[in-house]
Amino acid sequence: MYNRPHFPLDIDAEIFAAFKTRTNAGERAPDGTLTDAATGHSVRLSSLWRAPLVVEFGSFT
Amino acid sequence: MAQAYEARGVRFVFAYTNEAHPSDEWPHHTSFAQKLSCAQHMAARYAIERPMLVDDLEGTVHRAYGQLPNMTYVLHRGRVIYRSNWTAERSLTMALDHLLWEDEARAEGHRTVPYWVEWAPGRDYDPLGFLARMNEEIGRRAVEEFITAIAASRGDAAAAPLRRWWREQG
Repeated sequence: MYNRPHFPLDIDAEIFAAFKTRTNAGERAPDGTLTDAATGHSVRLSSLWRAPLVVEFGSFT
Repeated sequence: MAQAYEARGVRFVFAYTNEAHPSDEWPHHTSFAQKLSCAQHMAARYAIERPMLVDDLEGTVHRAYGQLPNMTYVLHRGRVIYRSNWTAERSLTMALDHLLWEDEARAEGHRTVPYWVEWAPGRDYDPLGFLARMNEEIGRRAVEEFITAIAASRGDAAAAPLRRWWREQG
């Protein structure tokens, strides 16, 4: 389940374990569209990664 | 860090995902407008100057990259160069320095070939500082759910110092 209303009792152990098996270094990066919070415009990741691109994932909490 | 490396041609973005520790004050997202507002609040609260890019409500991009709450990737020419299941400045700095060295070496006519590294370094860990910030900025429910999860997943002994600290907070 994504976007849970409560913190999971297992601290998302399954997701942490699965991370090791997917999207490894050297592999093609998944593309996708996000929304720029400042402008409201759509941004494709692939439009940014011609130069080295650091993507930090996170949230307020 | 971002400013120093951007001067050397590296771009930085923050991908805003789902709330890892939802609370009564900061609940999980129920609409994209709410999610966008939370991202804007976060950018202002922490003076984040990097572009703040918001994933959709379903977390399409977040899930494609592994769905962890605080991970970092370096992407270059469509490939993953570096990824960490927890954002850590020390290892990211090493990765970026290496990547920039590669570009410089190729520009000078040297040949490089990819190789693959695994590494499991340690990072700073301050659970009571983490909980204090959570209590101050996120809310009591988030603290209590985190301590309950530590007890459920790692045992009462692991949760004991957290519970003791929480009782002291009143």
